[in-house]
Amino acid sequence: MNEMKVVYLDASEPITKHDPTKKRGKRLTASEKRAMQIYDIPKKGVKYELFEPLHNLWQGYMKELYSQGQSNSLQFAQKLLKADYHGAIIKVTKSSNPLLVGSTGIVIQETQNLFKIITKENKVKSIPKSKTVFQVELDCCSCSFTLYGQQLLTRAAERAAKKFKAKPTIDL
Amino acid sequence: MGKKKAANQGPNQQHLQAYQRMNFLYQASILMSTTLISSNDKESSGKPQSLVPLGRYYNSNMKKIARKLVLRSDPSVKRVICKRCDTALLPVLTASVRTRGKPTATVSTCKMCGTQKRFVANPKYQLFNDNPENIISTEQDKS
Repeated sequence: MNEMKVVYLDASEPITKHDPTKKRGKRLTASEKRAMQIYDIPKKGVKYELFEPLHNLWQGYMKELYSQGQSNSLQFAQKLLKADYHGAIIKVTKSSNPLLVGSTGIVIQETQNLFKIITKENKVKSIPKSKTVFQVELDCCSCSFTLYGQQLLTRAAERAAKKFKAKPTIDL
Repeated sequence: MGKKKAANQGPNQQHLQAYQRMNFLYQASILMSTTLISSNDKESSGKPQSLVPLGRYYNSNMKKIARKLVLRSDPSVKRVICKRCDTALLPVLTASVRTRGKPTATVSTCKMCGTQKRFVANPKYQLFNDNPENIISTEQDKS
């Protein structure tokens, strides 16, 4: 029986799973964020009217951007690339998915691949950026800009820091 | 938002756009946190819901931009944002504000995640940004 002796590894400190009641960290982990649903929009009761003040705020922000440059619209287009689209009213003009064409709404969330918009029918729609062309209208200069979603496939915050290179052709 | 030393003229031209964007996001988050959704369902609990999650999303975007471009935010802005969950801390809606302890401090507790912010009441304490010598220019309120 001596050969069958069991050798025990030292287990003086048992491995414990992360206990949520113990020491709270300074930042939230991804699983905590999912559990708390901190970025989730309430599903019932969201209405288009609630977001109109947000749209007005966005128009004011655009007006400020526009009034600073005051040169040709090309320079302003550069500013638009770094600008924020939350609260903008965008319209889908072209898309590889024909069902999406014509959707209009106020942008409430922008992620890496999507625009989440709320339409006038109080529906929250997720519109993929890839292979979609959007149109944005500004009150201050009464002109509309075309956004090629395929070129904007970055997270909203990262677009503030990204440098865009001129491309020879743009195709959807 | 960022006030620099007297030697500098203020934020760079390139960073100016980023600051405007962060400013917009901050205002948008507070707007969203105060927007209440009225629901008529029987299923909903008595409390009206608000768009605080969206407010959190905008705040977290704002923080990400600041982190990416290494921009400094004004303490008056940072004090209204919960450090842990990015909620806009508004006294009745998302935070409970009490005065506690010795030395007396205003404690603002985030209702979402429970983290506290303590502001000790010290009459002599002045933020660098509030020191009148360090303010280069103040923007006039445009209507």
